[in-house]
Amino acid sequence: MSASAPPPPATTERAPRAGRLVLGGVLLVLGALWLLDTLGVEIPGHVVGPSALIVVGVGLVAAARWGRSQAGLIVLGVILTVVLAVGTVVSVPLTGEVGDRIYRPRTIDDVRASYALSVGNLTVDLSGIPVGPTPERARVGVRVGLGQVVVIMPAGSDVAVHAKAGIGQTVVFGVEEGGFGVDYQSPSHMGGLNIWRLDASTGIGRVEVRYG
Amino acid sequence: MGERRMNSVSLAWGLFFIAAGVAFLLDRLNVIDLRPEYLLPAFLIGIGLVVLFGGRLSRAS
Repeated sequence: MSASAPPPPATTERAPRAGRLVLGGVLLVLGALWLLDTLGVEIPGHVVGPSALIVVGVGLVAAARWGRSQAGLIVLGVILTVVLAVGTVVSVPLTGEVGDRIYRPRTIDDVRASYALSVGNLTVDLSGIPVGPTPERARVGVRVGLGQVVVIMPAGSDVAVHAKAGIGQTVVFGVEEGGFGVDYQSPSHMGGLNIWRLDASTGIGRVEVRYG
Repeated sequence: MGERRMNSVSLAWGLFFIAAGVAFLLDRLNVIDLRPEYLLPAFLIGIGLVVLFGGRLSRAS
């Protein structure tokens, strides 16, 4: 009985490590972006993440021809993909102060056009404002990057609410919605001219709008 | 010189990451609008293609 054919000799071409390929690619891209920025070409910061993911993909495709397993790079790519996907769904505007804030304006003139907090609980209590003299279509924006928004409207007032939560929950006059990318829009209750227009949002957290 | 074996799993994941990266880049540049309700199904389709064609390429090589 003849011996089976010997296995083909291993390739003699030296296989570069994919990590080195990707590192080189990332440095190349970063250097090119930096150079373009220095030359006056405006490079928005939010393109860096997707560019890094493309570099990881190109590195994997290039390394695939040497037949090596690239588990580390695949894990890196999956992490980058998840982070970019969450960033696409959830906008966390980290502008403003940090902590808990409560605002209680007593007249319509004291009401700001917008209230913002980076991280924390923000309460805007408008319940002390008389319903009658509300100007036509008073607009108020209340925004928190990470945390809870509570807006208390004057009892009996006419309010059109646009409530958003990247990840979390909105409760608008008892109507609850939750999950990813929550976007709730209530109609004006009475459809009159003297209505409040309220935009309340959080990146991650909870938005509650109720009557006082 | 011996025959090189293509690593199909790396190839499939690499193509998936390139496609995802291009989609995210176009979204960031406001060329397309990646809506949250489309993302999860799109990823499931992409990962399904990686599993299917990664395995098929493995058997072919």
